[in-house]
Amino acid sequence: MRHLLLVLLLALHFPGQSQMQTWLGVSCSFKPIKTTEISIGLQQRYFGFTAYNKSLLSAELAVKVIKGIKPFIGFRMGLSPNSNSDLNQKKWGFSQRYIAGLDFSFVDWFDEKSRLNIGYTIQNQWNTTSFKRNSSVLRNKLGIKYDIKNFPLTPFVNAEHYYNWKRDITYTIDEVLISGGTTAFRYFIGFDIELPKAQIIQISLGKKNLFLNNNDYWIGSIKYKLQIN
Amino acid sequence: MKKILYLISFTALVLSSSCKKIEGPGGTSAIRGQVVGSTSEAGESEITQVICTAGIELEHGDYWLLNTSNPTKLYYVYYNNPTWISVSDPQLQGRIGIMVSFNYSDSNIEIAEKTRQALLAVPGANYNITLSSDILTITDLGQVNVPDADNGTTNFAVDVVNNGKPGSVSSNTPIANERVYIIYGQNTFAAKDVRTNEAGAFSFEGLQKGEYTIYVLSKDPVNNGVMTRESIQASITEDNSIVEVETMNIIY
Repeated sequence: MRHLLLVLLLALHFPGQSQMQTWLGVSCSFKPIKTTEISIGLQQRYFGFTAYNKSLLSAELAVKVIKGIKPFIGFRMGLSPNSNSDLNQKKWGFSQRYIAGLDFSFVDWFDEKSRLNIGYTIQNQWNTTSFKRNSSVLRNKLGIKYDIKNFPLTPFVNAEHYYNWKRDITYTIDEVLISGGTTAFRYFIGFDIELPKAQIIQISLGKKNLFLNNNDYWIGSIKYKLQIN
Repeated sequence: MKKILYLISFTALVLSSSCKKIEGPGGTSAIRGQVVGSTSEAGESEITQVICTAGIELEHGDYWLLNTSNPTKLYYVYYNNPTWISVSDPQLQGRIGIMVSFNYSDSNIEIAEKTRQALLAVPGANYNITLSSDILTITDLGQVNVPDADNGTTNFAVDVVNNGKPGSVSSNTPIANERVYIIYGQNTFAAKDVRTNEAGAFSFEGLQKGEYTIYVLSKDPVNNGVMTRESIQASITEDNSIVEVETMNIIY
């Protein structure tokens, strides 16, 4: 375990600070009824390790309708320094995201108690941000997680594709043409550290490749999760 | 469970009001228009000054040449002393002769006055004449380039003090590379500017719904060196729309 931690910490330092973001988050989830789960989370994001980027407050409601399939809806609010404060004289800019999606756990269809989880998540998100174009993004994520027996770490890896329905806007002579396209791929590798009383610390390293520009960045993420059953 | 759902709904409602879109960037609409310009440069008249000599310095038959903006009205002014019986008219071809009678005893001022009287007596002449002492100032009524006058055989000093030239007028000329400004909403100052293309057209893109003011700077037609604002209001009421504003006319 010490070796794995060391490798991940080294990996966090590998990318240059200018292309690196640090995400620190906490979340709490609970099940008011057996098939329903509500999560509330807070995340702070930084450029590099210390330069403040934004804060995100999120809430999600997921319902297990049948074995291995969970529809969910969510809301996320973002707060960040307003780069257009000259236009509205406000220090902070806001963003909002509404999410609806489906979460599939394929292995659950055969064995709900399996330590292996192969998941696929499809979601569409609608983003509204001050002084930015509204966007509608379809995300497809494929992930694998394995809970190692008698071992506190649960490694995982996932990859995600971003498709923006309004990526390209062309102003022709007499009309505005809007078309969609891939905007990014995001990858994560990491592990959950299982702590007593349904607590988890998730440490991961990710990379987001932006499709139309060269501002790719690495992500070092640490998240504390509390599950109330 | 109910309380939690209420809480989430309330939170979403409160937060959704904090992200109101206002005029400015972040939209999908555009405002377009064209800048055309007018310019007017006044023409100038040919002004000739003739300084006459005294009669004693003139010979019977001396002449000088006066041209005008009308090519059919080119003159020669010749001096006739009645005591001489020979013909004083040099009879230059293609020109109209204007005779001035003089005496050797005439002063330079008298010669100037007699010349003025003779020039004014020409029917249909397209010039004005003023006299100050012995200086005749002849102003052509046209505004074109006129061949300079010449003192001919006299000792008069002939000087062109202002060359005639035609005026120039252009209007509705598309103005290329002109800076056009946009003001978002009720703001006072412009937030952004673009340049016109070779056809004088401009386009502000990526705008939200709302009210905008577009303006361009124009020369003040009255006060030299002063710029004025030619502005126009534009309203975007739909996303993904292109709003065409009226053509903006400036003086450049």
